[in-house]
Amino acid sequence: MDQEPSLRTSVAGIELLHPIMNASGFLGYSKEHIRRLASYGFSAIVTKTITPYPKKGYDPPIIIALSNGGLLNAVGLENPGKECINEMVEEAKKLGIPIIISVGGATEEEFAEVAEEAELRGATAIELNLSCPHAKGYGIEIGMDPQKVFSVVKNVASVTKIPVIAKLGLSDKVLESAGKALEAGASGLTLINTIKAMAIDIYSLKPILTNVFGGLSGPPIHPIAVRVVYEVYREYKADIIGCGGVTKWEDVAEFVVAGARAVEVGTAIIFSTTQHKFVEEMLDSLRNWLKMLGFKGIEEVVGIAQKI
Amino acid sequence: MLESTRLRYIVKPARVIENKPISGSMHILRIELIRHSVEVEPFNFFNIWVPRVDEIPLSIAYADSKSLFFIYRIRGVGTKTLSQLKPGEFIGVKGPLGKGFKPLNNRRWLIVAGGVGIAPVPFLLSFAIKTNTKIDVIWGVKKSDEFFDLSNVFGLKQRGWRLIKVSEDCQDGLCGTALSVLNSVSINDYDVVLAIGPQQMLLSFCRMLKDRENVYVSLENMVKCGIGVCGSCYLKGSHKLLCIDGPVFKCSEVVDHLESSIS
Ligand SMILES: Cc1cc2nc3c(=O)[nH]c(=O)nc-3n(C[C@H](O)[C@H](O)[C@H](O)COP(=O)(O)O)c2cc1C
Ligand code: FES
Repeated sequence: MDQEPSLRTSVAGIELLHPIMNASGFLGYSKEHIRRLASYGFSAIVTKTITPYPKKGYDPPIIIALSNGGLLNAVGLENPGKECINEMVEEAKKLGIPIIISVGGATEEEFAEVAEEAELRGATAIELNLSCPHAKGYGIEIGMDPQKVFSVVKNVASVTKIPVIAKLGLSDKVLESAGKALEAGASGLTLINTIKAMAIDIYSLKPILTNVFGGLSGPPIHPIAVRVVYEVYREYKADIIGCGGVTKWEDVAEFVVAGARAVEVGTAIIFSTTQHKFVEEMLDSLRNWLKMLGFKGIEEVVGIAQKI
Repeated sequence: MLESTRLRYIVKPARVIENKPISGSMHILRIELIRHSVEVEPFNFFNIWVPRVDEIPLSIAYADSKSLFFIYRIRGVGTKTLSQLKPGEFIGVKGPLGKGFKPLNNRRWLIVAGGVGIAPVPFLLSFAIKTNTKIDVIWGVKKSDEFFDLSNVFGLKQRGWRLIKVSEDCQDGLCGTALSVLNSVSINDYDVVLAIGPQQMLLSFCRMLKDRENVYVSLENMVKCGIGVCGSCYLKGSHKLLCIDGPVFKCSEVVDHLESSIS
């Protein structure tokens, strides 16, 4: 009898039962949120980006669906501050699931402060959010400056022993920033975050989001994310988590053959009408796909599309 | 299916048809969608986008083939600005959001509404009339000028439902609160008992009837995104989200949450 192909993978030193985790920002700042995310069947939970102190977000509307299939958001990194890390890690441990704390900050010191708290509480790893396109001073301004990426990652990597993953967004310098993050001690990269965008109501003639600009996610950004993963993998052979527009198993497969060892899913969670089954359904299809192509495990196909 | 979820979450342009006070403290808003059509059930809600000001979650009060109706109270800048919109002006609506909650055939329901908690009741009654469910409504207000004529506003048939009015100023209907009347009702006569209104009232309601299975509350606060992403509407001690799994919950599901958010 043929053995079922294995979906086990590891990324940045984190062992995963399968490659699908959630993307940061879809719930993820209380123990109740962790419980709900775990019930979807992800292999690891990524929290909302946590800053040292409570941060108030923008006023609604903060998140809207678009008719092109995308989602537009300007939440503004709202979160209760680093005090919430403890209860989330405890909950994840109870559920036996790895937990990655997404860390944000306005300064190097703030990033390090949250990272230290995450390590102290026993988190599995840290994902540095260097790429939010709409929270002023907290995101893409850092990610698009390779030198800043280097110093934030270096600073965090020097105070923590758990794996540090740098999450970068789309910018002209993404390749260079990725290199600097790795040089500074990141064990992995998450690529990509949302892309700066906007939506205007053509009757009231006004921008819809309170913040005017927001971040675009979902299917429209997937091909861009695949391109970034492909280029970064080609350059550095790094451990990559693909993120952006994963809706179906085919999107996971595409990320993996481009060079990702795992993926994160965000927007698709909310559009799915079978929230508690859709990860499982994608996993089944991935196994069938590997079997059809004659592979024994998903790790065999990481980056395989680079051979052209 | 995917497409229908997406359609619900899009901000759909709408035109204000009517927007005026309906009682001492409540306003009625009637709108028409410009390009879309939606299917709505009782207890669904919509996030009403008041351009450049706010996005306000409001229960559906009534819907016909063309229009959506909402009943609201002025609580802050958003609802204040909403109340100033004139017929012909444009807004946007995200929805229908949440899960509907509607009667099966031939049931008996008791609704306990406090103040503007009456908002979703007209649409519920129109469903009940269709399904032959009998509904008794206890509607309590602080001041009797808050009452409006429930059947006239939406042209509801006077069939299969009864209204018991209660006011704290004792000027109209019974004297007291909605819950004080509940004490003298025979709860066993009903298949479903559901309360809608201020949190404190819902908590007292759930404490009073906590040993029963078929008691529900409709929650109405904490919603921001309305689509299950921002997490602001989670119920403490539970993995449920108001905007996805609610707004109607069994008392047993929310009593911890109500206790901890009120204390
Ligand atoms: C509402 C919302 C909130 C988000 N918040 C965060 C966040 O706090 N930190 C972060 O790193 N990314 C955040 N993101 C970006 C997502 O993690 C992800 O990178 C992006 O949505 C692309 O993936 P998707 O197409 O699967 O949604 C957010 C995205 C959305 C839609
Ligand atoms: S209001 Fe945002 S998750 Fe419910």
